[in-house]
Amino acid sequence: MSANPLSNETEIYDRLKKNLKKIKDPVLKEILDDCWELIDHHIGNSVYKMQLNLGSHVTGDKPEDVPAEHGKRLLVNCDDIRTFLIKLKDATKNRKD
Amino acid sequence: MSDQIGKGLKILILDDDKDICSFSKEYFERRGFDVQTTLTGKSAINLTKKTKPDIALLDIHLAQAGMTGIDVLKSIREIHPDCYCIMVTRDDQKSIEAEAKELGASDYLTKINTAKNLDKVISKAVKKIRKGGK
Repeated sequence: MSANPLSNETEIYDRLKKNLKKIKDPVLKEILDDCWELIDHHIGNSVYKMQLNLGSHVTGDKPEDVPAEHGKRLLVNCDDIRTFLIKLKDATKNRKD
Repeated sequence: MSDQIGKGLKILILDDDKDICSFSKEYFERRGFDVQTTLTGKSAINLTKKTKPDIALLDIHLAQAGMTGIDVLKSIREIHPDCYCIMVTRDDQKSIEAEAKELGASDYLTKINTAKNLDKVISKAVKKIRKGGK
C-alpha cells in the first residue's frame, strides 16, 4: 500500500511535466540529471536489497516468517534511504546564502 | 514459483554491494540454485571459466574503475557462450540496455522493479535453459 497522496498531488505532477518542457538552461538540466542519477543509484539499490531480503522468505511456495536479523537489516535499508533523501534535500533546496 | 526451480543449476551473481550479494545468495539458494557471488568483474570472469554457470546475474554499474557489467558480458560471451546472462540495470540506463542486447544479453532486470520481475525473469531463464536455449 502506498502513502496517501497529497490533496494536490495530481496538480503537482502536471505542473512538473509542464515546467520540465520549458527548461532550456543547461545548468538546470544537469542538476536534474545529477539528481536522477543519485536517486536511481541509492533508492534503486536500497529497494533491491529490501526486495531480495524479504523475497527470500515471503515469496515462493513455502513462505516463512522473516527472521528478526533480516528485519533489522530492512530497517538499516530504510535508514539508508532516509539519510540519502536528507542529503539530497540539503544539496538541492533553495538557499539565500 | 516452485521453491526448487533452480535445482541442478548454477547461478553467478556479480554486484559490487556486499549486502546485495548476501541477500541474492540466500534468495537463490532457497530456490535450489547452486550460488556463487562476487564483487568484481575480474573475479566474475575467472569464476565463469572455472565453474561454467548456467545463469549470470550481472550488475551493469560497478564501482570498480575500468570494468562494467557490459565488459563482463563481453568476456562471458567469449568464454561460455551458453550462459544465460541477465543484466541488472538502473532505471536510467535504457541506452546501456540496448548496447547489452546487441552484445548478447539474454534478459534485463531493473533494480527498482525487482519484486514484480525477479521470479518472472528467473522462471523464463530456467525454462529456456532446461529446453536447451540461452
